[in-house]
Amino acid sequence: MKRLLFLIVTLTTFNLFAQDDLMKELQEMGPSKPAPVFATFKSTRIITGQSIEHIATKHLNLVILHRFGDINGGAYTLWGMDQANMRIALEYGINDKIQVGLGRSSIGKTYDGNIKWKILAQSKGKGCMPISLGYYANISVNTMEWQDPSIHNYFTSRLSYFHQLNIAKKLNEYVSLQIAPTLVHQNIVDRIVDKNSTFALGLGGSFKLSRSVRFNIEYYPRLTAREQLTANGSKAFDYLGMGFDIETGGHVFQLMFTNGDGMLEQQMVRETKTNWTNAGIRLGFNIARTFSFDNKKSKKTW
Amino acid sequence: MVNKIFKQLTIVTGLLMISMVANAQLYVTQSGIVSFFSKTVMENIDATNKQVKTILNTKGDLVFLIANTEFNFPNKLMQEHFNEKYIESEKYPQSAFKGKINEAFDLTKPGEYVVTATGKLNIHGVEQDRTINGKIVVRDNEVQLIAVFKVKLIDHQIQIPKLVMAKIAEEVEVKVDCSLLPKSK
Repeated sequence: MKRLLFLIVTLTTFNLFAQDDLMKELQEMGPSKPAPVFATFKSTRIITGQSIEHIATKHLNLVILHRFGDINGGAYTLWGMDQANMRIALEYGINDKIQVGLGRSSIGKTYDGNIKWKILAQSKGKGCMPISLGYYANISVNTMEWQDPSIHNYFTSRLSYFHQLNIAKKLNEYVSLQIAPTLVHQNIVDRIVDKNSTFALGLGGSFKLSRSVRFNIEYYPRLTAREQLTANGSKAFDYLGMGFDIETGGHVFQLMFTNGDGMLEQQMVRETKTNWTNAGIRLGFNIARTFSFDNKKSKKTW
Repeated sequence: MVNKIFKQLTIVTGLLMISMVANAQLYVTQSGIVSFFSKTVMENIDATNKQVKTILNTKGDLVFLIANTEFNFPNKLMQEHFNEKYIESEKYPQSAFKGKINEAFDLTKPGEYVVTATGKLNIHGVEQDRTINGKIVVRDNEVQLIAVFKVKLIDHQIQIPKLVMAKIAEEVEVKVDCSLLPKSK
């Protein structure tokens, strides 16, 4: 009788084994290509500097960046709330490798055009790419009135450039890191001793706290021209920002404290006039909203 | 004596089953289509995966394997959210169904068969016993599997944050449309 039972059990479980075999066959079927790693960072910016992230093909990203005044202004300035700088940026994904953008920053009434190129994208699985590599550059035009209109002023004097290589890695679900060798070049500098170019090393990290919240930190130590003063003659400091990404469906809010008030990348590296040690920091936020134009069959937006 | 008969019977039956499975003709595809649709007052979301792997054998054993990262959304931000926050592709890269078709059908004769498949549906690492209604359409050299069914997110422990609750339906409609070809040995 036991044998009979055994036989019946064998026969009935056989089908399950058959399905498991088929499942195994499915797993092994086809080329096993590496899976892309997504969401290394939540936004195209870690804090103020660029992250490795791009806007998807045919998607437009509108970002409004806002930084208040120094909180060490105290109650008199409502801890910096009296003062505000802003930047508006539009970013568009031409394809999955190239993103272009336009921006306007209130500091220096500066317009800029920028381009982001994803050279390598991190993936995982067999034959994977261990890191992401990207390039970001901008040209910006300062449109302030000339200090001395009586002399002949050249348009090229208004220009400055920013170049950056972004090397990023999502270590696991919770931690992403980025290293970004950076070059800022300004066509005209204010003092004869000033260098036109500054090299810096952008360091960034993102730490997932929950499904919708991350903690980010960004630090831009200058490697050269460390003693150089800012345009208005005050001492320059290295940019340090930290804050949170809060995601609500179609928007990403970034709330942060930073020492610099510049939101254009070259201002961030060269024009940071205040320091964390004496609370020379400010509250700021970025709001990003993405619009999809990739709607061949449907007209839905998020 | 009786023992011996049973022993032999077991071996023979076992061998018979193995040879039957080995000989069962397999119908396969690596480009099946699975889409899902979530409808709320606020927003409609749909996504399509055109790289679904499926095997059906003549005995009715049926398996599906779906790479979650291959779901294509019109809005890529949604796609990222789907992968990162809801289906959690990093932890659960695949969704799967393995089961058996309950009704009789003949893959050699063109025609339509209304069938049900009973088995385990695995989404987001959570397995559910399901019986799914569908259709088998047999053509000259092709077998098409069609099904429409609903998946309750809560059944698979997919949680929607309160902030976006109004935008994502608690129950999504899943459509399956896979055309299988006989596997050549």
